[in-house]
Amino acid sequence: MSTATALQYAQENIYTHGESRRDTRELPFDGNGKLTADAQARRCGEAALKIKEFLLNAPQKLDTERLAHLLDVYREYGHEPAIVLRARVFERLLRKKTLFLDDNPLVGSVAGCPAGVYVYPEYGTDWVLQELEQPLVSHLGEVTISDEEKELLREAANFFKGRNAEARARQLSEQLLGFNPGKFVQAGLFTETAPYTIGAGTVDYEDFVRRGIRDVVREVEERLKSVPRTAKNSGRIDFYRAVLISLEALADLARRYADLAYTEALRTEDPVRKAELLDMADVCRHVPENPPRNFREALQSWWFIHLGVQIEQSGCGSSPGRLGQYLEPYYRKDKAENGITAKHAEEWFKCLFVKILEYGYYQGQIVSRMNSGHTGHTINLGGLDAAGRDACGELDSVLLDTQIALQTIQPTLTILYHDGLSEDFLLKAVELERTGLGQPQWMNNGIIMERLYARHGRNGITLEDARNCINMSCVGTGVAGKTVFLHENGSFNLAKCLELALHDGRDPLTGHRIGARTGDPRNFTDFERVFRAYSQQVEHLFATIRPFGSLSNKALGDVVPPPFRSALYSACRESGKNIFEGGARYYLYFVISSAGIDVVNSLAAIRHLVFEEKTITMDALLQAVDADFEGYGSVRQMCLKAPKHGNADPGIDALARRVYDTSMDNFRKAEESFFDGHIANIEAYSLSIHNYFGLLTGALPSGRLARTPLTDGSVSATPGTDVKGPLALVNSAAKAIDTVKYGSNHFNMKFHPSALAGIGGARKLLSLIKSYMDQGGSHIQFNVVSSDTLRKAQESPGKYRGLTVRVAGFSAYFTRLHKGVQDEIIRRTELNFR
Amino acid sequence: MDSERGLIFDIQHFSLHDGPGVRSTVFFKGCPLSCAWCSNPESQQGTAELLFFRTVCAGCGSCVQSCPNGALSMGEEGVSMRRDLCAHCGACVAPCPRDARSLSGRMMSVGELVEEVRQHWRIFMQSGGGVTCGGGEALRQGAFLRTLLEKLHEELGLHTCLDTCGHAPWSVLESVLPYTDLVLFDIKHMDDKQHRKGTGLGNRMILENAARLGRLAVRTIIRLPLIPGFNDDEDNLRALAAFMRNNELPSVELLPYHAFGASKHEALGKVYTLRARRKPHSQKAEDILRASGLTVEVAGR
Repeated sequence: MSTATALQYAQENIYTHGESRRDTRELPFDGNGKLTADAQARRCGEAALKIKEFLLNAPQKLDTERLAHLLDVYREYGHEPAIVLRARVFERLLRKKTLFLDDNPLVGSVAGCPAGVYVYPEYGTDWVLQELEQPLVSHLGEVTISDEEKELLREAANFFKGRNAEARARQLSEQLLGFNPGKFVQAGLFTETAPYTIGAGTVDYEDFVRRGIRDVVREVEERLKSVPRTAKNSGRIDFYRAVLISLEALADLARRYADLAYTEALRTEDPVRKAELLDMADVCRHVPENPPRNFREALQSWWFIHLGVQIEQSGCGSSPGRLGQYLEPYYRKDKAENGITAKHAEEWFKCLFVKILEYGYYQGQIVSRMNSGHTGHTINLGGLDAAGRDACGELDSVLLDTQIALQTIQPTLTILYHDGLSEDFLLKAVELERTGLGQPQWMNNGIIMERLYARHGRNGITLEDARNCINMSCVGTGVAGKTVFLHENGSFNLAKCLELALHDGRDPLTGHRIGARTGDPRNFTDFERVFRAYSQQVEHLFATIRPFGSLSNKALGDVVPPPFRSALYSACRESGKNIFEGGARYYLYFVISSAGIDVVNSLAAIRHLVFEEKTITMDALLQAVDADFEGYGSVRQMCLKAPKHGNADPGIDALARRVYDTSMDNFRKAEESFFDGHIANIEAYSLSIHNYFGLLTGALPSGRLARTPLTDGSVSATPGTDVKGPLALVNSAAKAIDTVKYGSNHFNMKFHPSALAGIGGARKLLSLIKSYMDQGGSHIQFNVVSSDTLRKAQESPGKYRGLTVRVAGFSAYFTRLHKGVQDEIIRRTELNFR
Repeated sequence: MDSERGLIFDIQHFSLHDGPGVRSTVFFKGCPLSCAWCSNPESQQGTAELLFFRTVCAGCGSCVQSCPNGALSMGEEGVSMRRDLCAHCGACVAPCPRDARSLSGRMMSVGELVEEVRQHWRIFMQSGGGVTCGGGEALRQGAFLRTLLEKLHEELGLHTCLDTCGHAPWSVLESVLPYTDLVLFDIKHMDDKQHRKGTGLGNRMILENAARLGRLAVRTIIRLPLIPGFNDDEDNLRALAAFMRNNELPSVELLPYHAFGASKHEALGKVYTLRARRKPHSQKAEDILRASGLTVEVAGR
């Protein structure tokens, strides 16, 4: 929806009492001089649209204010144990950071300026020192920073050089393992975890909002009092001290916002704005310290708690969880007592959505390339309640309406799909798909529960906890409010393992010998030898990097243990241990594997061309690959035309499964989890990691050229290679990976809008989703093809070969249509969906 | 006639507009009509044919050497093809890096087809879909069609649709009806002369078949490809409505004309003669037919 239509929508749907925006004769106040719920909701909707427009064009601004406070605190409190030191950093920021208010009546921002982002040199300084002399570029373009601020960043980086988590991980590794990750990172095999802040996954928002911080403070004070002051409790005492400092700091931040709103209220001449500011001040004085009195306060309380999590540590993957469901009681009460409506709730959710949209981070170019600025704020809808019934509440539908109206890339909506979801809800979800936003994504609730049992059986997971599952990041799953989200290593490139297998352990692009000596593939007499060499590389490399991942987590725990985040898990408060000490109930502790499908397609090409059809020798194939196919166009054609994943070919489906099973087996063999008793896992998804690793990966036998993107997702087809239609792709995708053993799978599917037209189209899409889930598929999301995509397909038809246009009795691939006809279809696409 | 093997030019899965639910459509090759507007012109000839999409061709010449019959050569304007020399063997398809060539039509057995479509049984069940036999004209390969439909319908219990132009001996049509849940039946024009002009053949056999389907109460949807200036006029629509009412055919579906097939005409070396200047009067047609008491659907709406 364009802004103009959105505004019109807002006007038609919000001005329910015949008021016009500029009409001051009928003032929007109630008997007590407060804004009416209608008037406030209208202002919410207007503010959200305005802020969304601003954010779409706003570059990220690096907010260095944090760095000054950080340096001060480290100089002042350097003697404290790390957990208390970190609490002091958090406290100083919340007490001193610059506050501002914009039009949004939902209060609070991470940084001191709009679209501001923080930098965290205490995690890693390499990227800062390397990239400081060049423009800082995020996925949104150049990051704004002044020379003076650059100087401060340099000072902070120099201060933390050698004493940050990244450096500590490497020092530990050098001492204990004799292993230096440098060459492995350069070669594009994996990325480290210590240098980069990540999101919290899920924390117990429900409990905190309900009780208010004051009640949690009382609980922690009790715990601290009752801890015997003995040597073995030394760490617990410091943990509780740190938690109390952090919680008080958040309460104080809310009070500072209340003061600011009050001061601005005194200054303003506009009676409406004045009333609004006074309300804001009143709300911020009450929450998050106390239990919310209404829906709006619950939302504000939630946002303050979330703000605390993000200020302590910004990064990708922080899910509000089942936001609608745990806010439902406040909404129902407010509805019964004060007559608020679904429309009011929608306008307030819009305010929240633009807050989440504003949120970002910048951690240098590797992360920028891997994540494309994705923040993984996933709101979950659907699922089951503790008693096994459909958990959907009214607010789940309101959240869909909010996103249909506002269409922001963050937060994203996930539907926890099960057979008991209501028809109205499902049809509304399809309505959101039709916008082309790529939301909601669909997850198989049954598979998530089975996965949780498989993963946490040893931790004694309860049925209620398994039913309270969520998508807690982009596609990683866990128990709402109880699962801690931590990387063992950042991400792992399976395609690199294949490259190494084809080059006897030497990386062809950098020349580094980082793999195992698995022999010259020219001497391999059958396909099994090739597969074994690949498998041995995976085994060797997991055995190499997993111990480093363990030490990275030790380093993070040593240097930057997070007191506030840890305080948000009841198990951490009970045990008196932070998340790096194993204090939490469940762990989603993982590495992301990428490019599995590139391995499948490459192995399939080798098997087909070299060993089955014998149309080319291994030597000739490798010569072509090593030359990046330059001068070997016909070999590349053979490679491209060899069988590919995504076409319901049983032989390839089985190979895909074997590639993924082998990875998991080798991963498990390599090392115990750092969090003993809690399983370590592979997650298989991509963000834009496939682009980053693609830049560092040479040509492959699949026909892919060197330094071009690898395949996205984990069971998606390589673009242009699925030519048997969407059903074949769905069937192959559902079979490619053991979605229970794996933490996640990730499947993107493209559709032309013609496939979703009308109620019949909606039902057909729902049939497709159910068929996929019934076969064990775990995740699916749809990209309704836009006119832009079609234009790209016109320009480079090779990448879009599978794109079909569906009209009665007619079959054709888009790329083979006449230019004029293509243009006509593009025009129609625009008409339907703009 | 072969009852076990037939000539098929495409199988489209996730077919959404050719019968209820999500379907797999099997496209039979060969058709008695030769409609000027045909969106699948490769369906008309009853033998395999080579398609060459010139607009996709990069002019690299990879195909030239692969031709065993010397039908291809490099000319000033890229690859040129002598259709009189082409044996439709398909040797030139694989070497093309841009996928500009394809061979339309291959012999498939009933078993192969059944295997290919039944893998999607789950979504057929979910969506109330099934298998549609279209084309081309499936009844041209009547014995094969009958075996296929019998297998799908009787042994597998799948919902089956026949999408037909209606021009076939009644005995052939009748022979497949026991295994057909729904007939999609085209009536392109009510006037015999006009019909001959647009499709190459008169409509007598077609109307007779339609009338019989109505009398026998076979579940049938009459489909009218709405071609601007050819059959979207009031006279034709009123005549169609009267005919349908008289023969107890209650449902009609309009398929508004599109030119999506044009590039395939060219790819076959044919001339696309129909260049409609305007869109068909879909709304008017819908109103007229509905006013006559018929149930009217418009495809893609």
